[in-house]
Amino acid sequence: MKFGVISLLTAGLLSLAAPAFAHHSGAMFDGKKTVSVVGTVKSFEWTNPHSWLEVMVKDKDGKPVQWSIEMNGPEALFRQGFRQDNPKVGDRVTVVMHPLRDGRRGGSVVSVLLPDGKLIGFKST
Amino acid sequence: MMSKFSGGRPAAAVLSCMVLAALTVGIAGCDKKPVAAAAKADDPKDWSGVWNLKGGLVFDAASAADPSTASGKPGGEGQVFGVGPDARETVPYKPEYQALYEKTLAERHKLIDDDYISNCIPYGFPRIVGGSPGPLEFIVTPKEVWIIYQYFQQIRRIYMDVPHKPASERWPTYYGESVGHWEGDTLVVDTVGSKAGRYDRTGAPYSDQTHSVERIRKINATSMEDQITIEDPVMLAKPWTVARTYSKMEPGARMGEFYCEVNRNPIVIGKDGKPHQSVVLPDDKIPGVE
Repeated sequence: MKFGVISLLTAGLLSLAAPAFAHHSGAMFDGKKTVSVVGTVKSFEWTNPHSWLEVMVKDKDGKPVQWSIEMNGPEALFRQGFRQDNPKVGDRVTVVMHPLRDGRRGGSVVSVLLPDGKLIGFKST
Repeated sequence: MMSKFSGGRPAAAVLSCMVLAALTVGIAGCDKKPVAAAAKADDPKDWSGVWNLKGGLVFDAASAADPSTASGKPGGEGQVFGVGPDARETVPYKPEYQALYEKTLAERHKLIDDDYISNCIPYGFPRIVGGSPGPLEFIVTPKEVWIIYQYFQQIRRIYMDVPHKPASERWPTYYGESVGHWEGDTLVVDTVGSKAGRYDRTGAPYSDQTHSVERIRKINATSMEDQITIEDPVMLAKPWTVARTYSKMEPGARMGEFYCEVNRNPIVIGKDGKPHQSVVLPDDKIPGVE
């Protein structure tokens, strides 16, 4: 139950991985903060203009809450090593993201640690 | 033996080598390829393949940094527009449009944003030259050249060796009207009649009076360049010349499909009455509906 939200106060650890703001401005995400969540994939929307990874994460009280992570569209994700079924529903993943500035549970992906141990990071496009 | 083959020296050489190779292993010179198969110089008019823009997606990189957080360097920390560090270009606006642009930029940094791309509206011209995400391809035929972009499946059509239609027979469209001709290996494209829009997501505006001339050429086997000079008598103090380069993707690369299918990022009107970039999460109500 140590999971939940871990704020990484500096982005220095992940400075190589910047989010790819392709279809819209990234201004609603806080590029100076990163948040890491560990949870179970509820859905992986393999769609344009952006794919979305929905992850159920236990909050401090152990209650499941949903985090929505914005990713690239399928063509770019495929090149990065994702597949329509990887990650799949039920997979346990660790996601690092730049969180929404408005405090809702969502963010722009920085990296995803897949169940097979593969870490996929993102570069700005 | 050779006299039976009138095909010339290469065929004869290959045949003699094959015969010799069958008799003896490791004859020196037999691994030489026939002359016809030797490496050919790159054809500057072969624009086949799939190409990727080099650099960032913002035309006016000089102004893109958020002054409240930026390190001062384009692409530096605090950047909110995804600009590459090597890009630095400034639109030569007339003073009144420079002022308008600066106001827009200040609003962008307050998250006020009405960029139509977020609503999956086409990039239009000349914005598309500044770059859309994902690759593009050039389809070169004698009468038309098409530039096809993966992003939103956008297409520019360039009609070769014909004049523009009379102004009275056209109206502003996203890609306007492009006519082209070859000057050596350079495709020269003249475009008029495009809708007013924004050069990029910093909000740098252009009117529906732009007239652009592009010089598109292959620099080498894996690089192309599109140099564009934009005249905008309404907004620009002088013509603006910008170049974009493209690098060829790996052999066999194909264009992907990209339609805006599920857009969770529409522009919505905020409580301040101004447009904002939104992110719609699954639990959210429909924007604007209480």
